[in-house]
Amino acid sequence: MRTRRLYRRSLAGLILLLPLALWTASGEGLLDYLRSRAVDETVVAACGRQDYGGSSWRIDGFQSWSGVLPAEAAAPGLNLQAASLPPGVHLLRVRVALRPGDAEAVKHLDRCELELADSRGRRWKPQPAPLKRREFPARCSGSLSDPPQVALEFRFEQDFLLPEDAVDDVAAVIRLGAEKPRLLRLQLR
Amino acid sequence: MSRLRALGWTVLALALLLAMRESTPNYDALVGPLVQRGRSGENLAGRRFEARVDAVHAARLIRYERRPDSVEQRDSSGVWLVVEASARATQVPVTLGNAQLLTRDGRRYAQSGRLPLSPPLLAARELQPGIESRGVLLFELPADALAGAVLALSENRLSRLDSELHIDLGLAVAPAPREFYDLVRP
Repeated sequence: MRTRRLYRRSLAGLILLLPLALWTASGEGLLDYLRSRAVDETVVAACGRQDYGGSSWRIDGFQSWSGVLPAEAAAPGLNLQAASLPPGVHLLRVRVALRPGDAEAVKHLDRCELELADSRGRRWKPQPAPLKRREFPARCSGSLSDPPQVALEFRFEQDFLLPEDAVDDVAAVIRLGAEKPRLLRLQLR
Repeated sequence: MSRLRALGWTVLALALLLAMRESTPNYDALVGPLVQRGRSGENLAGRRFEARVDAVHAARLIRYERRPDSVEQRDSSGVWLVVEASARATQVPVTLGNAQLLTRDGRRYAQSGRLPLSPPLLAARELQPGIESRGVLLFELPADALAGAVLALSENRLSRLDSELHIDLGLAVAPAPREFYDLVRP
């Protein structure tokens, strides 16, 4: 009877001590992992505007194509095959407008990325697409001749190749080096 | 009788300990790549990308475009093995950072770096989720090493605890090399 009681106490002690031992050995690593997985993002509804990194951001427009691209959109010199998209692939051009609040905000735009992400966690980076060069720059930081300026609205646009099941589900994700790990998610729809 | 039983348990415990000791993987096996095996023509999925080998060609020369208006060719002291493959990312953009040929004699051949990273090369592409990219992987190796070669694909050269696809190229015997493989007009 006494032996059985001793066994039960030992078992209860093990149930208490085992999680404690695991926590002592790897609790810090688990916390680091959870911290690294946490996403600190600000979600902005379609047509909304949001401050991020000292600038005000909004989606200015987007357009999608599939199949054979319209002749006026094809880049000069490309043959018909290069100007058409494979079945099931869509080209999405996203235009973003931003307004830097001060000179510091303009500096932050040097390390800026635009990606698309869907609700399943998939992400796409901009791709060189077989379309005629756009009327707006492709980078948040503009170009030497056309840089963003304080208090003035600046537009840039980038092209993405997406599978059919993601076209209606994606949002634009803006990351600024100075704001990491915070990011801005601008809903397209 | 009870002593005999105790001895039996002891022998059994020792046998179990010995079996555990012998079957415990070494450090390299514990932290090594997680190998997924498949055959040419099959879609094989790893953690971050999927890939399929569509065709394999052996050639003595490779023709490629050095600049838009200049076609050149490269020979080899062995043969060129051209693997036509398709790949796509699963969740986030990835690049095939490591493609090697594993031969029957245990050697590993890395991709040839003698050609510029041009669009036909799969290694030059950033794979996007759900978008199939087709391209070629180029290797140079002795002609007698072709038979039984296996293609190993991973995101990084040190793919520790990450997927590595091993695709049997189906070369039971070494294929006779063609005169040249044209990367400009395959």
